[in-house]
Amino acid sequence: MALDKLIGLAMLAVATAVFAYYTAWVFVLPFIDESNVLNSFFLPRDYAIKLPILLLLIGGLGVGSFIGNVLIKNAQKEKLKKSKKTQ
Amino acid sequence: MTKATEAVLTVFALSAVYFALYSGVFPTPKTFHDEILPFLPWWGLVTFGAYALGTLGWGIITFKDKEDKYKELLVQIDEAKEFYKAKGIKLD
Repeated sequence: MALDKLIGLAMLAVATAVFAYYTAWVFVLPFIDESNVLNSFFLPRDYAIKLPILLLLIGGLGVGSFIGNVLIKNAQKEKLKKSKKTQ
Repeated sequence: MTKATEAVLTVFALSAVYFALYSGVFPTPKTFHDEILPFLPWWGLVTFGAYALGTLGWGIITFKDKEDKYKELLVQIDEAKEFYKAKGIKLD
């Protein structure tokens, strides 16, 4: 398979896995016993809230830094152009 | 009504239902109220993210190459670059 199709397949697989894990975490775990073997696959339930919040913050940081980077680069280009013009 | 109005109305309606259930105005089973309700918004967010990523991946997998459209697009890109250069806008 071509590389881009593999990347697409990986994206689909990650999306399905994340959805299945999180849905089981939220909807199935409260109804099973403490002693059930299924519990060993899942982190403590309060992480089901902390993880998305953490990921949101990291994502926001990433987007903000990218925007800031582009703005700084543009400002530097403007300064370079202005200094070249006045020369 | 516009798509934006429709989206805001949907969000508002869902939030109203959620807060009504959360505040205990309607009696709900204890497990549902304590164990599932606090996680519902985050589940919605994760599901939306998974749906977006999955749709993108599926689109990539099922994309059919169109050779002549590719060449046409390259020609259009070159035309656009010429156009902007003539107007004096710099492109990297």
